[in-house]
Amino acid sequence: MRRLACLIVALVGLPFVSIGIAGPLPEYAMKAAFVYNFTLFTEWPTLPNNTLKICTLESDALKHELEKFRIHQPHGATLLISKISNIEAIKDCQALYLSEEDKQRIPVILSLLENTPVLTITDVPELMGKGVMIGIKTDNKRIVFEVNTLAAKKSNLYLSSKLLSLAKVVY
Amino acid sequence: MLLQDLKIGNKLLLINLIAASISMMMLVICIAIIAFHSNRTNLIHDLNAEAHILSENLTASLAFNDTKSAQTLLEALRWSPHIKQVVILDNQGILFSKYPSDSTLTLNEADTLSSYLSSVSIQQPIKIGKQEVGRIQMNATLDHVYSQLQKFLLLTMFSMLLAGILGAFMIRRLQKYLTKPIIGLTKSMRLVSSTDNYALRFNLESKDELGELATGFNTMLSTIQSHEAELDSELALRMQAENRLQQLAYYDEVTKLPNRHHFNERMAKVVASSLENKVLCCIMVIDLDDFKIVNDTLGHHIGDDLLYAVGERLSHDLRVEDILCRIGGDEFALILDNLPSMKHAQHVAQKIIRLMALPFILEDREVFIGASIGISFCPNDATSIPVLLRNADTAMYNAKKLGKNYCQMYLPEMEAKNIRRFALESALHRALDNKELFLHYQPQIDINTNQVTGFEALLRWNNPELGLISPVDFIPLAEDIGLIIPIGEFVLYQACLKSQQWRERYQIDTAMSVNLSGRQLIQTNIVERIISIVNSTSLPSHLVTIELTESILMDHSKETLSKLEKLSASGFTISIDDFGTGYSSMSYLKRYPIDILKIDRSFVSDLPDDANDVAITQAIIALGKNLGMKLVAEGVETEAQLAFLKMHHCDTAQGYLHSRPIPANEAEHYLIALSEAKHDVAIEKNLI
Repeated sequence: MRRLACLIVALVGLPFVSIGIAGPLPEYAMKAAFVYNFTLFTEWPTLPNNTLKICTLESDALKHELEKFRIHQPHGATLLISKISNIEAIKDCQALYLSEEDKQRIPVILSLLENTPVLTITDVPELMGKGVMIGIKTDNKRIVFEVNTLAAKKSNLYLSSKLLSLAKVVY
Repeated sequence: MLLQDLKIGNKLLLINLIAASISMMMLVICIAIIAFHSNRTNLIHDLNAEAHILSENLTASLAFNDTKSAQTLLEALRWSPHIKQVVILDNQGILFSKYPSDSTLTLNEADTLSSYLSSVSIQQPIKIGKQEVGRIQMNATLDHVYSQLQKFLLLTMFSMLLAGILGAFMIRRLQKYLTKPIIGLTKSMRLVSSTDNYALRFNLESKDELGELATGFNTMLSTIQSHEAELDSELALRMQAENRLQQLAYYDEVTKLPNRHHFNERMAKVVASSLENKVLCCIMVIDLDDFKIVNDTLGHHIGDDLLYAVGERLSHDLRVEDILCRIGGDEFALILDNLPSMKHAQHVAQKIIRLMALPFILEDREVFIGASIGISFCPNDATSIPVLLRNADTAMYNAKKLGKNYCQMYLPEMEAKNIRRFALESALHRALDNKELFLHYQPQIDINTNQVTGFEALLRWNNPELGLISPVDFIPLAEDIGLIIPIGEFVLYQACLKSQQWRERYQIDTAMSVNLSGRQLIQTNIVERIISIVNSTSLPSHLVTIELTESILMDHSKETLSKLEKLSASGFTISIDDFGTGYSSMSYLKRYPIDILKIDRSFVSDLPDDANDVAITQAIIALGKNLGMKLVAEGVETEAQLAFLKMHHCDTAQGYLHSRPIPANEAEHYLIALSEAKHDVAIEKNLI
């Protein structure tokens, strides 16, 4: 079923994953689309080698869904999806997805990323107050998000006002 | 058409205004179209810009499928007055959001003219970076454009009105240069036609077509003026001619008195009023005695002068209301109106006769004439003009017959005589052809030898109906109607022919006397005619005696003299008949080649007892002798007369004593006797 939905998206051939219109998508597919879309409304100081790398740590499911966006070029850069095994390597990412499985390593990760322009995204509600920049949650069957502008500012990232205007909560 | 009734100024104004309005209207329409189009284009630009802004703001909403935020964004469009509808589609073409939220969906309206005029529609993709995430369609009304256009048009209308008023004012001022001369021309033309004064001229300074028009008018006026002048002079000439004709029609050229035509008109009035008022009026016909002789002998110009003088003399003593006219050759008519009595008219007539008896001085010559007057009274004699006139004429003829210088009132018994005159006249016309005329001959006897020396040919007329008619009756008639010329020639021919016959038969030369009328002598070729007639009978001219009356010689003209001299030179003997009765002087006797004087019978008849006649006869004989003329006594009836004449050496006697006028065969006896006597004498001579 998930495959079929992905196929439909692929078949439509649109560069953008539309949300919630082509029927109810599986949770990860929707989250992947959100993640991708966040990158669109975020500005980095520089994009090294003109690449935009979205990284995951443990969540293979999401990585799999993100792979589908590889054909796009957000901000005109080449989109890279990568799963990080060496924790040090997260500094080279532009966006990092943190899942339930990464909860234990959060303090390390956040300290590593302090003052580094990496957009952090999570779907774990507890992590929001700990310095992750964007939090996704499901609210009444719809996916909503919260934004921590202070964290983003600290990391020298600029989040579009359009994004902020849509956020459920802004810190 | 309405324009036709307008004056030129208003016409021009109207035309200008209409033309200006139409062109301005076209301009306004063009501007309106352009304005509409540009406003619409501007609106499209604005819409595009707004769509850009909107789509930029909508990207996040689309990206995160947040229709609520999109709706919030779209609600802000209510501040935009012209936007009617906005539709947002996602990248799969599914409706994402719309404005107003309760509107029904209209997409991509058909691109028709009505849609072009009523609304504007644009479509744009919504992009994030280069990624299209949806589409936006905006529909806007053109109400705003139209309201702008309306304002513009109102303003333009107002401006046009203002411009029209200003333009009309300016045209009014400027067109004076055009209409003023036209109005001037019109005024002048009106003046010309109302006053008929073609001497007027247009004074126009402009050199354009109007100037030419004015010049043309002036030329035309000059032409009319000259034509009018010609017409006037022609009319004046015609008036003169008419007056002249009037003068000729109603007045006599010679006497300047009213003519017969005028007379008839006046007479009609007088008779009418006389009948109405029962008063007496009369018409008098005055005929001049011996006028014919004056005319024939002294010439027509003297005759005319005489008529004029008579007219003057007559009118001099008339009352103002009396009307004198000349109604014929020597006939005058006098109308006397309102007469107290018939006697009064007679007094007037007597006075006229006395006046006419006085001599007229014409070209230093005394001319004597007389007047015979006939009077007819109205209403006593007649009441119609022709009858009155005829009666007066009849009375006048009677007066003439009674001798001259007489006045006669009309009497009904005169008619009979008058009828006889007409009968005579018509019979006389046929007398020559009917061979009713013949000659008698009266012998002329030498008083000394008592032998016949010649004969006088005397005309006789025997008409089968009227009988034997006296020459005293028909000779004056023949003279009046001009028959005397052929009759005179007949007499001359017959007499000469007879004389030649006798001459051949008896071998005796006797003279033949023939009377020549004054009318005959006037003929220019009379001498040639006499010679040719006498020659045709072979009688030598020295045996022909031409007898003329004394009155013929009153004319002292060269023509008469030369005619008589020619006759004399041709061998004719010239004799003066009835000598002593005329009025003229004796001086002509010396001038004319006269051979014989015939003493008038009136002097002879009372010889030798009447002392006067004796004296006159003696004087005539003495005069004739002194001038070398022979003397013939007429009307010798007694021996005593003959003795007296013989005693006073008169040459020849003619009269009843010897013989009355006799037919040719009787006259021959005298010749036979003469011939025998001659024979006897010859024998006697032979015997001796």
